[in-house]
Amino acid sequence: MDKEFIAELHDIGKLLDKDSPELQQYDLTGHTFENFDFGKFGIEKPTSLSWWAQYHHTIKDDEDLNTGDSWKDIPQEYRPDLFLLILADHLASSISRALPQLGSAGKSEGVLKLWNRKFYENEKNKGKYWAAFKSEVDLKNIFEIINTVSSPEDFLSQYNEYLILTPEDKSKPRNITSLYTHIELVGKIYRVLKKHCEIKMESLLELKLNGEAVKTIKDAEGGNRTEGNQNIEKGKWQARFVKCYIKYPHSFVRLQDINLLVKRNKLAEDLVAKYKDYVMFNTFDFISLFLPTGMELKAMFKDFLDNGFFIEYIETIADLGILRSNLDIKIIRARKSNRSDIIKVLNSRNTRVYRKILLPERLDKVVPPICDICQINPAKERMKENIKEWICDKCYEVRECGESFKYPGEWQEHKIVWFKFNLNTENLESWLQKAFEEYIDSLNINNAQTLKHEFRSLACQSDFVKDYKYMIEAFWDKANDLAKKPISNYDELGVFLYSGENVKKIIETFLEVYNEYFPDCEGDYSSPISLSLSISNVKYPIREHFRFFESPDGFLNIRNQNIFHSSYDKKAIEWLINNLQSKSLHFLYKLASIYEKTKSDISVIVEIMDNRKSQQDISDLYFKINIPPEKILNFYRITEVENELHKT
Amino acid sequence: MSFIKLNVEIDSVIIGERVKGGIYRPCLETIPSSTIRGAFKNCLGSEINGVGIFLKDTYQIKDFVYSVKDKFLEIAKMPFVAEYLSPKGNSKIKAEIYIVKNDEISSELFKGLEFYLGALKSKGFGKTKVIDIEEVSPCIKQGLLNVRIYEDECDKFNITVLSPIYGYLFYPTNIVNGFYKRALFENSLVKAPEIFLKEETFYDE
Repeated sequence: MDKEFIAELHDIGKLLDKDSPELQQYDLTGHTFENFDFGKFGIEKPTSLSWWAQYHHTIKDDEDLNTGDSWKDIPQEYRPDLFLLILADHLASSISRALPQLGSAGKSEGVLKLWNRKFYENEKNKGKYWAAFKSEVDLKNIFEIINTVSSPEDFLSQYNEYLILTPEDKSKPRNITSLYTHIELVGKIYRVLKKHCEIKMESLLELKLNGEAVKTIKDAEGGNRTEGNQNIEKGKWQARFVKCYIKYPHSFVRLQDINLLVKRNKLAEDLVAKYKDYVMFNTFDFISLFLPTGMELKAMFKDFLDNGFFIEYIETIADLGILRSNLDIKIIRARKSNRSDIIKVLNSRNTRVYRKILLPERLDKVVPPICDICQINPAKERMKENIKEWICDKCYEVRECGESFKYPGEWQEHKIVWFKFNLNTENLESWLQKAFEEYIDSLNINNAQTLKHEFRSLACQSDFVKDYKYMIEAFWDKANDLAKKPISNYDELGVFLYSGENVKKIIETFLEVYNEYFPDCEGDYSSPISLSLSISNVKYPIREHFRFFESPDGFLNIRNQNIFHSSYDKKAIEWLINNLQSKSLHFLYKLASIYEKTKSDISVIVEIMDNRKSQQDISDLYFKINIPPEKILNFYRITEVENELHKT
Repeated sequence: MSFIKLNVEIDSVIIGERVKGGIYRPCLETIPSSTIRGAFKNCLGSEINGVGIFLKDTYQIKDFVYSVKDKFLEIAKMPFVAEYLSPKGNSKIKAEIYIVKNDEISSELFKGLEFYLGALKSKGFGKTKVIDIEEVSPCIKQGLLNVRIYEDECDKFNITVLSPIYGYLFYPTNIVNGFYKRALFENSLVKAPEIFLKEETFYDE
């Protein structure tokens, strides 16, 4: 009978359309089935361990799990799972469950993605619908699933198309996270807690985490507030959210050295597979972890360190009641602005934020030669194509491992363009906070300010990252003929043979997929997503392309080796693509030269005004998007002008 | 703790990233303690501890192609491209060099001093002139390091390491020999005089 407790099933009722005509006779309320009259409708009550997850909203936070009234219907052996599930559900929610009434903002049928507000509407227009269960048969099926599903993965994959359309909570403004991500996070956090929790079942049930025994949810979590005077009691259980940035000191000498990225991706894949419940979400160079306080990070990242990578991480330790992935930002901001009211509460709850670095062992000194690539280890002399190189064994092994990318023969002696997508997770957190605040402002609700402060970005981040991965996959579906992927299973990186037309097509394809997945995420300097293009001769050192990719300034960053480096926002680039005409070239050169000499916008404006009739498009561009003529010219040169690069 | 702050102007400069192999040599955008040590040893003949920071927006990165000749074999070697910092606009590159003040080193020593920093001096790179001298006593703050410094010199600069990023800087022992010594790199989390910090931080220690 008892299989694994599948925490992911706790919200299965949210996939049921209670308003469906066929289900009216069942008088269904809420999204759980603990009060459903199985006998009356002749339906067999589920008997699996997972069934007890249906009680997750009936338990009172301050009641003892041994003696509390709200616990009395739950058999003792199932109480620990339910207890931990409730903690996990609280930790994974986008807005604290403990907040006061939100007013009458209404409900939404489907999920509202802050970066793609019409997502559900568009899916609905394609014939999709959020509810997986609408009929009597479906209702019986829910109970069958609770009884028989054998793994979280089975449930998630089987109902994926509905879970991604359904919000975690239909009431605004809680409708911003998909049910898929919510239950996925709840499942992971539940299993981490379960793994590290000591459960004693004698005459009385005792739950301990890091040696601290608790009897109520409230004991474990403490209060839910980080400021003010109310609800700030210290909790007994603490845990950690850790943001890990995977970095490397290597600079790529030869093209094959980018195999290091293959290695990084493989190691990340292995870590995510090995610690899948601890990993909340990950990108190619970032891993978000939920960990109990005692768990060593060094052991988790051992393989990375052994291969020369280092891990920069920000670790937030807090009571479960206030722990969230973006708490570090709040703490640092409070300390920076010396907000004693917040600092006092956080200190009294022993809340800490560390910034640390995990490094491989480093020798005190290295007798030359030192490795050209990692610049860390002693190197050996190696000869290739009559050039002496000093490479350490590890870097040499990476260089030689696997199949390495080679430029096609016809690219030799030509200009090429390397490009890389980037997702900046710090920008993402700031952007989500800002977008959430704007959403709150658009609703007529009470406690708007409190809600803004209590936003928990983890689930939204995870949803955003999933869409980012879909977006770059979609990009490659469209751009496969235009560009090559130097690393076959790494979608962020590409390279193509330069031509103005190709550059334009790549940018257009990027804009097309970006507008499909992130239409409501402004593509500006604060954008979490960016694309960088680096144009150079085929012989130009690969390391310099990567150096440029390290710190993208804006939404679209273009560098033409030794000629220019410009950043553009989405609005500007769309205007440029749609409005720039070839007849304007000479005028642009003139404007750029005036700007270069005078550094004065006034001089440029006067020149444009003098020529506004003959140069209508430039005049419109300049006044509408307000970017320097030099940047307009640069864009024009790389996308429009035949052989322009060779001239310069 | 006090430092002598030298405001200097530089024509153009190459401070290599120690990548000795290959035909492309990127340039650092900070002046490590090893470079300062070498420059003053050359010019004043004494061991001086200091680090430097180039002022943003006073320089740009350009490429210099250099054909090396093997003097022994009388043949040309593969030319290499070295990045260098070149002044932005019509002015000069501006930098601040901080020297640890002690009884043996006074500000007078640097008045109007001209010296050479970094590599390829024979090609005219690195000519540096002290324009102004101040004495500063900065506050100690927690933050991210903005300079490169030998690890064993941290005490001299009043730097306490909280979470290091280590790399190596070359340490010459004589005119032809030397070794790579462990050094603290940019973005290490430290408690240090604020002049050495990229940004102040507020993490637990």
